[in-house]
Amino acid sequence: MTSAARLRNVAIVGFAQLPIVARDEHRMATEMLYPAVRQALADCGVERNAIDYQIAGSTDYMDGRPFGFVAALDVMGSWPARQDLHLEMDAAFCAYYAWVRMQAGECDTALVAAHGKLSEGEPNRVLNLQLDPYYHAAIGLDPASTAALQASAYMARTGATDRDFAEVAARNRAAGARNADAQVRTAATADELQRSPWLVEPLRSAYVPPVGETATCLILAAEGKAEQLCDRPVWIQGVDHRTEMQTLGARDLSRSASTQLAAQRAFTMAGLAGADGIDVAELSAATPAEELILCEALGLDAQAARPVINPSGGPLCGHPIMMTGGIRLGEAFRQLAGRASGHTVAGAKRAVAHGTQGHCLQQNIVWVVGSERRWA
Amino acid sequence: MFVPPIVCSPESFAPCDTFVDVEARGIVTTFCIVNIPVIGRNLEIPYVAASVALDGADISIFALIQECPPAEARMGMRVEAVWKADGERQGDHEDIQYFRPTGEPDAPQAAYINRL
Repeated sequence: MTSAARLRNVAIVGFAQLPIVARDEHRMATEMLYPAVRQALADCGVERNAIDYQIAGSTDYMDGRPFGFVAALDVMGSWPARQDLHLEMDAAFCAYYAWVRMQAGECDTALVAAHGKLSEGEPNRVLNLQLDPYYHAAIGLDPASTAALQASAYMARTGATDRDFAEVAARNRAAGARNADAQVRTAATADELQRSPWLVEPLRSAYVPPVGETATCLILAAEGKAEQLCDRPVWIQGVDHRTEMQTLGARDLSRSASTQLAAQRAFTMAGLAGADGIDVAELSAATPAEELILCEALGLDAQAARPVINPSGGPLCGHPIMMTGGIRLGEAFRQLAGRASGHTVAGAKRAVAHGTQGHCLQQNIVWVVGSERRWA
Repeated sequence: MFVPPIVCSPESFAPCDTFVDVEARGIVTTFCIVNIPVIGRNLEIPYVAASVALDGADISIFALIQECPPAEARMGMRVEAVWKADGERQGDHEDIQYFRPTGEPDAPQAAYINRL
């Protein structure tokens, strides 16, 4: 995709989520999703019939039910029937699929929902199954262990220290304290975080997210419709996603090659040379090591004032499976549309939102969004 | 009117926010006779699994039929729930042990044909 190709301008025009909680004691996943869908539609001032296309992200493996995702059809406003898809993926990738359908001219508006209750699953056991069954799953690696391997590789290559990780975590915790939807809403200093016990060295328990859940709904709309649904549509200027090998030993875990390539392609599509001019970066970094790796891959200076990284608090303050990337996109929307309330980054006009799937950042999507249309 | 309760009507998209009591009595709509044992349950084989339209409800629920020779199970058969004893009920779907025939005359087809 070269910067010369003219694409259809598509915008994010709505985003609703429930606050992320450790466990919703009373509601099923679909009971949580219903209010998120209704809120997103209400914020756009429309009813369900304004939506041409719907797509949902969730993981049946975690829910423990084959085809369990069909239950969400009841709460997504699916009647009268319209085109529908489910991906066993994060909402950030579902949004990409909807964007592609709009580029093909098959729809003008799309609802991107995501649901799932991590508290009802067995995350470590299920996510172990994402690994190579012969050499990795068999030795009982779980997400914390694989993340620790990656953190260790990063420290070995760059000389990053436990203190560096603590400072990244402290910054995210401070941000999360200002986000009413975050699960972890207490700030903590780097000193305090460095005193938390090891989970899997070199990761302390304070450097990884807690188990949590919510429900989310994004609304996308093409030029011509977007302006009717939102006073400040957030225009998609560039997007790309890339996948690496599953085998942990087959790639350099201290870097995210797929994020780097996806970022290059996304920036090029956006007509940008790189990350200069990005005001906000919402990254699906489940650990401080991942955040540093992603910053390197995206060409972001983690020490600079701009972009502000994870003003939402990021996944460390709330990591609901299959929704984390979608929330990053939703947070980028909130910032640019002036709806980030207590955690607003002043004057933000361009943002990057990142989503990931698989252990150790195996697959990555990079969105570049802005206040202006990309294509005239 | 949905049994069990759900958060919204899939058809109208309106919220379902009012709880209504229904009696645990209804009509067998479609059913099957199962010859395969269920792991973890001590059911006499064969047994009848049925879709029961409770009186007043718009959709049917799945239920076990007992105290009825399988050959006598039929569409339109009126049934009532047999609950667990006082003190044993937990407030979940297993509080109903099974449904059994009431002995009343069968319901006419019109009473259940839209709730299969």
